[in-house]
Amino acid sequence: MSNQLRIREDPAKVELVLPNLPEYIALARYGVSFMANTANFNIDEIEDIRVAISEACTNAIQYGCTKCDHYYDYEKVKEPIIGEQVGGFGLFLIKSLMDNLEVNSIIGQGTTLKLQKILGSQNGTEKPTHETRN
Amino acid sequence: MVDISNQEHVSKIKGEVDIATAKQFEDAILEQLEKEYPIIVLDLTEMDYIDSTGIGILMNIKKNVLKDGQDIVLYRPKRSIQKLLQLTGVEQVFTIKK
Repeated sequence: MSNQLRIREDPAKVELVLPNLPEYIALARYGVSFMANTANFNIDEIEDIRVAISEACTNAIQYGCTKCDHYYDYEKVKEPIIGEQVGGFGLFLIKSLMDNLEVNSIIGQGTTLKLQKILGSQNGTEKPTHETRN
Repeated sequence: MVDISNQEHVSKIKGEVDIATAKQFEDAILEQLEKEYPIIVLDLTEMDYIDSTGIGILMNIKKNVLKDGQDIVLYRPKRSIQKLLQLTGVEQVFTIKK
């Protein structure tokens, strides 16, 4: 696998291909934060996107497969017991922070998540500027 | 400013806690707990990010590792992290000083 950043002809679309290694998840966070800021999401929305993408990448590393000979039944994933449960919050956070989540699992091909955040879908704080980001 | 009593020991967490750094995060907390301070204050003012892995570590320590009389206090998490602590129920379980 390789890590490469490809800029497509449509400047609104960026494809980031990362190694299946935990240390590269931070790069996914940085990249999606940059993209979300460029797209004019506000600070809160950018943070939501950053967390959701990071959680999705973590799940890919933890549960990703090579042969993919099983089907991931997303509908059977139980909601965590808030305040009681020790782990298993990844998918819950993705659903909580994004506006839409599509899960497509195909035997032999793996599982694909499509996360969607709608610009302006939540009231947030001011748009980050170069002086105030991070 | 952190108010520190004789019963508290402050440890500052800097940077990002995710699956790559989770073990380091957990080991750092466990190391402090082994010194048997009654209260460990985790200064989160410079913690930029924590994911569900890190949150799971906190919850596990709170529920399964702390000895009688021991506790962990979370000090001034950033606003973005406060949201995660709320969503995952961490704020129901931990004392958070803001």
